[in-house]
Amino acid sequence: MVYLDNAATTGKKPMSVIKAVNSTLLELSANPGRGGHKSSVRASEAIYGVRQKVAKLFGASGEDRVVFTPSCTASINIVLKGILDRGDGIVISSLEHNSVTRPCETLRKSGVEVSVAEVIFGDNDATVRSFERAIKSNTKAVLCTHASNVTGEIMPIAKIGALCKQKGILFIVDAAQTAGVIPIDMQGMGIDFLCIAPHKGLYAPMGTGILIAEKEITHPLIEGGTGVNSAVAVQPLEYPERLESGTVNLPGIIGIGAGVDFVNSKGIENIYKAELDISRYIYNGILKTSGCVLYTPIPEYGKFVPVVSFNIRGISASDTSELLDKADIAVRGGLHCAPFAHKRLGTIEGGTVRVSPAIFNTKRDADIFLFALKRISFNYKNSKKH
Amino acid sequence: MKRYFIITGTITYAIKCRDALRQNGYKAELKRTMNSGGNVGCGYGVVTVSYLDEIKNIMSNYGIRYLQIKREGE
Repeated sequence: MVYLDNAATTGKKPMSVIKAVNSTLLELSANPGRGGHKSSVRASEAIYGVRQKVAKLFGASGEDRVVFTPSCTASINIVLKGILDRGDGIVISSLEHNSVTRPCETLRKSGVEVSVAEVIFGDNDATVRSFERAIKSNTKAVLCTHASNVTGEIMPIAKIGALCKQKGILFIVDAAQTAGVIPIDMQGMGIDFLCIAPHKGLYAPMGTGILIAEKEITHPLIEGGTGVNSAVAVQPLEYPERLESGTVNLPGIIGIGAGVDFVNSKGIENIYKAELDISRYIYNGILKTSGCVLYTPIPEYGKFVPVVSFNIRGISASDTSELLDKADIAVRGGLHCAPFAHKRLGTIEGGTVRVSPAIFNTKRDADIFLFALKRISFNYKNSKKH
Repeated sequence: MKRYFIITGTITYAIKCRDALRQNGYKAELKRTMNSGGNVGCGYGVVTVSYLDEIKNIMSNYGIRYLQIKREGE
């Protein structure tokens, strides 16, 4: 199997992550923060160590601001529903995933004003001006994806962060496609809330998410047991426990720690370069394949994450994906849960086929994919002649 | 130097507190307690041997919130 759907989740996990998860289940299976016995304390210490690693990697102000969640989507919901009230406004970009647009639609129905800032392809300054125009007197927060999961475009996060600071507005970043792939510095980029999918660029197990909350969440989405002050009726104010009610995913969190170590050992810049090199190779191969249409310029360093969207003219994205699957190649066809981005590309009816390499993919994988693609396109063309 | 028990609101702050004290050369150990700084219910804290002012300085310098600092045995 050639796995090229790493924007959904990295298909191959490092052996160090697998071993860390296994050894947690074998040797550290106690509920952290729920007891005074040695096993529970060891589990708490292990989680604390992962918080430190995550805080350092993303430039957070402290490990206590690192909250573990079940997914990046959960992180986004915790922030949006935790800070916005009736009458408040939020500005989102025109590239957002359903993980953002759906909770925003719920908030809109409850009296939150949702505005959309148009992303201007290839012109970061114009995109920042779009955000500036969309900001109103009631705007409490801006939310922007760090990179599109459909086109791979990287957004001018530092510039939008500076705009938010200037206006006194909270800045939320969806880093599902970028954490572990390109450098993120929360302090330097003016990010107040960073939402992360560690099972993607950090090579952690699925079912994990991270929220780094530099500012207060006034209404926790989930309330319940935190292991402290148990007789008190209200949710504690201290972070991260305020946002971590219920037993946390200890094996998954330890897997995040091992994933961070893996990324650090390779170097984010090296990972990014290797993945973008493969993306560019794939892009050029698709470009030379008869009958294919691409939707972006060739992915340039610093402007794109390793994601390439395309279609074969006359074949639906889902059929192309299915034919590739028959050749043991995993890609993702459809709307990628991001209808906004597809409306912009003009592909809302059928979506696109998305190819997204990760560090374990090789040029050989790309060649196998391109060979299969040429064969599918050739067979389709021949079938039309007869 | 005297033996103190620093009660924190969370296990995260307890670990942070312990590490900060150790980094400053004091012995420090985590401890589970049922007396969590005036609140009712379980909690965590750190037992250390140090000076009260020094403990307060370290807590302040490291941004560690605590609920109470008690002399052990009080």
